[in-house]
Amino acid sequence: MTTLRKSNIVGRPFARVEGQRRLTGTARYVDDLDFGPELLHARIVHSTHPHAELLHVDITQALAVPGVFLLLTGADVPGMLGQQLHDRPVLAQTRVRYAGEPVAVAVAATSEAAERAAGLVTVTYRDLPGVYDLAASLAPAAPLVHVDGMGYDRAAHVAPVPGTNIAHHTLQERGDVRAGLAQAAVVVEHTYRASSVLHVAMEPHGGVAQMDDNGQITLWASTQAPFAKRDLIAQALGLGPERLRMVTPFVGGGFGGKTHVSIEALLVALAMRLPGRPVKLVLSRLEDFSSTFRRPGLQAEVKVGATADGLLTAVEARYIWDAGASADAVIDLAYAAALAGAGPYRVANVSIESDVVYTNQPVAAPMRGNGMAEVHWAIEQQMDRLAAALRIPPVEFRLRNALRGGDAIGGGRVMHATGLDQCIRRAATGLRTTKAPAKARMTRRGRGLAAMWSPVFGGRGATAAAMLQLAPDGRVVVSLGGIDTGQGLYTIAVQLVAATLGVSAEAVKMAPSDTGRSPAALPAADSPLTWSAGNAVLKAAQHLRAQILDIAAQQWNEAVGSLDIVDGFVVSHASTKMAALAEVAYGMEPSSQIAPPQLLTGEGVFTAAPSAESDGSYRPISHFSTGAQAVEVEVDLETGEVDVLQLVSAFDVGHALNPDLVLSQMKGGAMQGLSTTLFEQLQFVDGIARNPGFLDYRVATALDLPQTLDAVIVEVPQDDGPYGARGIGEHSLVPTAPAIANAIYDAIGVRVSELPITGESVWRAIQTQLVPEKES
Amino acid sequence: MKHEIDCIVNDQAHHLTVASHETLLCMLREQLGLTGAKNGCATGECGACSVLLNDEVVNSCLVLAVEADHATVVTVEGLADEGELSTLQQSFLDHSATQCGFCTSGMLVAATALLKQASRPDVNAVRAGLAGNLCRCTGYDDIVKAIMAASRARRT
Repeated sequence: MTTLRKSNIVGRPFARVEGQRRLTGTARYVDDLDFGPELLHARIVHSTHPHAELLHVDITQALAVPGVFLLLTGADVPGMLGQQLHDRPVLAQTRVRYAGEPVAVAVAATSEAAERAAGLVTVTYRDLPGVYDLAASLAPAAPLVHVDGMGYDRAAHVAPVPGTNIAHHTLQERGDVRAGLAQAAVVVEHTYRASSVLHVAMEPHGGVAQMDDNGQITLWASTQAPFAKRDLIAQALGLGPERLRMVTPFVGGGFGGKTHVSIEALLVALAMRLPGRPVKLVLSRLEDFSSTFRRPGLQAEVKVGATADGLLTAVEARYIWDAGASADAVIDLAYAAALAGAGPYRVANVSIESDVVYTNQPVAAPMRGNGMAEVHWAIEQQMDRLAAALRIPPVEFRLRNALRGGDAIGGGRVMHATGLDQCIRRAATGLRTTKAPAKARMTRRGRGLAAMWSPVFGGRGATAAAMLQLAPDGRVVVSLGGIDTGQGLYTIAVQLVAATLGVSAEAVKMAPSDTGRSPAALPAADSPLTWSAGNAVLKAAQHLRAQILDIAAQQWNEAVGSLDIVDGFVVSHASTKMAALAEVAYGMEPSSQIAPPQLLTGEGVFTAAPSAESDGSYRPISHFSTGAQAVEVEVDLETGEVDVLQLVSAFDVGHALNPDLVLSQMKGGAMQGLSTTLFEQLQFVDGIARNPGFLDYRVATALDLPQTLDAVIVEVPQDDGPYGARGIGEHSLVPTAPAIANAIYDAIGVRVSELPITGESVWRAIQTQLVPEKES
Repeated sequence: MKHEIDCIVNDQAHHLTVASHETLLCMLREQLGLTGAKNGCATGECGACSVLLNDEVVNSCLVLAVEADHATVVTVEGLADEGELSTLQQSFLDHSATQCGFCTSGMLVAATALLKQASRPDVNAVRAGLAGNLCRCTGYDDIVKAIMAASRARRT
């Protein structure tokens, strides 16, 4: 860690810098921007068939609708989207691969006319046999979702299995898993499943695109990753990326659903054909549910062995991911699962296969947790099963095996210092003593815990940059490529700049995110931003500070060492001179109206240090986040209903730059975890979503809050983190599902292997797993 | 078909021409430029469009603009007083009760109504009062705490 200035801003609660705008209704999201009467409206025609040849897309009737400007079909937009595997058309070409796939798009003067036109597009399908779950997709001679998949452009590390629906196969091994299993006193083997859930940002996907007279295109969109999307869209449409500028207004949540290109490429294609006119496309909630992204489904076959002393000897797992009709977005996730799929434990013998499989279902993209929530659903129940078989308390079992700093974790990597054991203890002891239920007869209470780790990647594109400008009025304007989707990145940035530079937080302003101006950053995914963008901001502030102090030292003929910046003033400890920053930099009063010739600029670029990896992986790991959650549940034996009474989170965040924001991330993640564990499932029948709306796809409401929702900050510093910080947002729902499952087992002695855990699934487990209790 | 209506929105009188099928949400956002109320689902399920119509919380996506004739409407933009946050808004800020902010307008409106109806709501009443407003970020806990604190602040 570099030596940093002591601060009364960093490490303390500090209200969100953009909070006031969000609280007064003045924060503008993409649908709130005013484009005037020139604005055109687009509507998508979605496939109603999950797998079919497209025989004909007839747009003649649609074109006759008054007010219609343009209809596009696949023939007009031949591009394929993909970062590592180009397997997704912008518009369906000769076949559709999922119900909901965009087939055509209509543009009209009003949204009503666009809707009418879209409804008049006649699509002639010839149905093809489809694969609607993993078993069907992996069956011998299964119909192929991508018959020409081997011909797609792909990165060198992408490994499809020819003649199958396996789009990408990964294997990570260390030690000798057979020998490890042979050494074990107890081996448990089980299969777990996690079905599709949705990211469900409260703000639906949407954007506006416009091309100017020079052919420059601006895209305003709700996104987590403007730079990556700009490049992907440009590539798919055959544009130079310099022609496309992405502006990101306020973003109403993402959770991974807005990291990958959804409708944005289509919008740009439309704008290119309608010069000068802004074109808007905001998805309806129905479309958002049925045609954007979903979390990949998982089938996990996990075998774990331990000695009689409760020390792990081997983990052998196969993780199979249901990616839907496009695998590109799931490739990094599968890799993370292969690397971290043994859980946060010391184990010498590991073999993990992680395969990405096509089905005729909507396209999957990682959700908060980047696959770790799904993987830990399996591995953390296996740990409990082993502990039970060995008659070791589950917390004790985990502590015996928990990774510590210096442990080998495969591929030549060594675990850094971690607060994992503290997290496990603090979560377990954080549960409060509660009174036994009044009507004890038909309900049972139980407690459960799950631990987690999650890799944060520092590889491909893991550079963040920040730029600060000192304005003549003394304000400092921060440009950052990373997006604040609500997690609080901009607040953290302001705190870091204020502390490092020596100005008040009020003097620091965030510039809007604009790929034409902001420096590049990692997407708001994998929770890297506090760490990466935070470091970039810190460096930029140090750079600007050094320049200001140099100027003052020259002007005052003093040594830099005797100067400091305090609350926006350069002060000299030697001469007691004092002057405002802008006065020093530009030789003028802060109130001066004359613009200086050139603004003083601080630049900071952060590149993660190469990790000690020897496996030549395409995506080096920077570090791991760790944590644990403990829950108490009450289970109704008659109905199987599960009520979470209390939930405690404890995560190692390195150093909490803003404890309030950290606690908010933990609590918000815990509730998203609870919701995805108990309520959420996008159900399909033969590839058709049956519950695409809030009425039938239930997300947690305020009534589902546990009686207590606690969060504990654990701080073991990250050696290359800003003030020692690591991210938190992504990780805070990873252990929730297995913690609840383990608590159910503690309460009633049954195991549920499939997500979500519903009253029905618990009731069925009671019927099949429990011997009838004797009346006492 | 067009209709002429008179209504008071955030203490300002308006005379507006609205279409028969135009929703109150649409009128607020597109005619008056009040974009604080959000279109989260258009089917009355998420609560992001909540406004007060004659002091009652409604999903403005389910109310026709003509129903606002001779009515009083309060949106999130009307909660602050001359730029000064209301007790409730300040409490949301202090309790970190907004993250992405897309549900926040509706939450604040629902909470404002809640505190108007019950002077001393208990925690269960607050949770029940927010049941029609979905939030994906906060997990509700900070929101409930902010409302409880605002209700205590108001009593003193």
